[in-house]
Amino acid sequence: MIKTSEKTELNQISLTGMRALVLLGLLMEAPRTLEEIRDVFKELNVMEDSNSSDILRIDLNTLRTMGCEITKANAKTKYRYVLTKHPFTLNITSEEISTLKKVYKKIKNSSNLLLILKYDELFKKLANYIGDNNVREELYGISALKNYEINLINDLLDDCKENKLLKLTYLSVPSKEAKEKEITALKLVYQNDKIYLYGYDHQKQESVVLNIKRIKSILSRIIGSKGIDVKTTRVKFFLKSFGVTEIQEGETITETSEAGFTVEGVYHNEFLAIQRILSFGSDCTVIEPEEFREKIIQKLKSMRKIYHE
Amino acid sequence: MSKLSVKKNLSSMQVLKTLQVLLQGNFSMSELVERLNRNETEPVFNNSVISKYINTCRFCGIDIPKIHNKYFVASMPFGLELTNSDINLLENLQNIIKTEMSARYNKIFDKFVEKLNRYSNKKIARVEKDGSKAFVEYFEDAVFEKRKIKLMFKNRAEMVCVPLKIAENNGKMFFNVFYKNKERMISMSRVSGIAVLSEKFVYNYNEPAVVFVLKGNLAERYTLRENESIISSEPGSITVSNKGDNKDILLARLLRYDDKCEILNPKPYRDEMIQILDNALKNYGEV
Repeated sequence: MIKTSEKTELNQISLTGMRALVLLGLLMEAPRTLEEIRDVFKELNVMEDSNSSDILRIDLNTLRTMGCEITKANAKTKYRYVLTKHPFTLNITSEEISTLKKVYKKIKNSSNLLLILKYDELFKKLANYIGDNNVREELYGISALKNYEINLINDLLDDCKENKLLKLTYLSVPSKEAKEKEITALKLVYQNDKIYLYGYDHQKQESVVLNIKRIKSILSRIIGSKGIDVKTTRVKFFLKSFGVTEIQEGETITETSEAGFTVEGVYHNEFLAIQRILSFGSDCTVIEPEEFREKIIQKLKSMRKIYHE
Repeated sequence: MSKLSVKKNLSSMQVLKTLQVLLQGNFSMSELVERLNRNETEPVFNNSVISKYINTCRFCGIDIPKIHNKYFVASMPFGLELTNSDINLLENLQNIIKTEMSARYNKIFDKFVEKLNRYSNKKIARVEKDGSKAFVEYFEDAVFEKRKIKLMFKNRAEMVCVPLKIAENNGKMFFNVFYKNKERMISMSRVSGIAVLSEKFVYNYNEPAVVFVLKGNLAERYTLRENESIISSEPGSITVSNKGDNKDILLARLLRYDDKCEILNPKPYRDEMIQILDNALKNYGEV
């Protein structure tokens, strides 16, 4: 942290001032015992062996007078001095936070979960360096993951990597009861401000999408999953224009003409495929499969019906 | 409290005060003298002691350059520990602001970066402007000055319209404009030029609150967006008010909710949804 020096170089500097800066830096890094502080001071030639620890206590009081909040060193702190607040923190204005929020909003919906996790860490790091509690909360409040358990996300990412079989309890909306499920974890996705676990449900024997907020507990994790036959939904459709959206993962443009595009999409399950097709509105016509095309027609009819009742 | 516990070192305090002031901005020596003595009962700071205190900070690894006679903290060895990945993330944000947002936001973010640079052990680079940023600036100037614009497309078509705002959906940028009595979303990637016209517009654009009902399971599991509120709630349904979402983006989202969602008002939104559904059914020969 600090350059070591020879005594002769110290003429043009304040030795006591240097002690204060070194002490501030040490405590900003981590809680320290008096002995640890003394060792660094001696190493930097700003304290003699013969000096008593009272010098250090005066230095601590100097920092306190400057507005630093430093706890007492006692058994509770393992005899370490802990710097809990100091006036050398970053001052971020509301204007700066709202600009950060605006630009982060631009990227978060098109970002993958790993990037969202990295931004979460960054916002946390910046927030921890801010003295004012309200500003700190406001800054961390930008993160899309502010209400998520980061450990659970990281665990689930690992589970997906190894396609683990998870025994979990999940709060289903209709019954409002937590039910046990056996799910093979396939992919963790950040979508529409939520995190979903794409998996295979062994009881239902179908591909499912679980909102991880409703996972109440993970009872067990088994490596080497049961054999699964993941049933994706394939749809071929014609699209006049992508409109307000872009081509997404799993979709391929197979033909382009002046009238539009022919797209082939592979979706994790039928529910997601239906949602995607409906979001295109009248710009989209399903070509095949026939059964899915018929489902979309029935959906559109029932949607129109609610406006004509 | 013992006498010792309140004893403090004055010159240490003065070094810390000097650092505190330097962290607030760029100052000449005379400005430092003035600022530092401002809260003292008698002037204790002068050129010579401040130089000594600056040297003390420098000796402790705090980078304090003097450029155009102004001193400032360029970096702190015990400040924010930013990793290379953190720097990449910040530069990514900076890049987007430079290329897609107006001068006002650029200025604010530059100030923020300057501040972070003071407190961190690593430097965040500046990014140069590119062409599309100029479009955004022209567009936002036109909104502010209430002037019509002419959008020139890559296929050589042109459109004279009223600029409303810059919109974004899943990373795709749009000019939200009013053209032929309809609000439209024009993808920035289609635009090759933009001209701000002298003709002023009087269109008073107020985004309407869009009210929609959600039913069944969706009503129970729906998570409100920042710009939404529940205006009524009954068993099995909720009525939501949304303000601020772009119309096309909102309609695309509400379409996904199929028959579990109904737009109540405003009427143009409801009518447009009906029109979309009618046209979608026509695609399948269903009238």
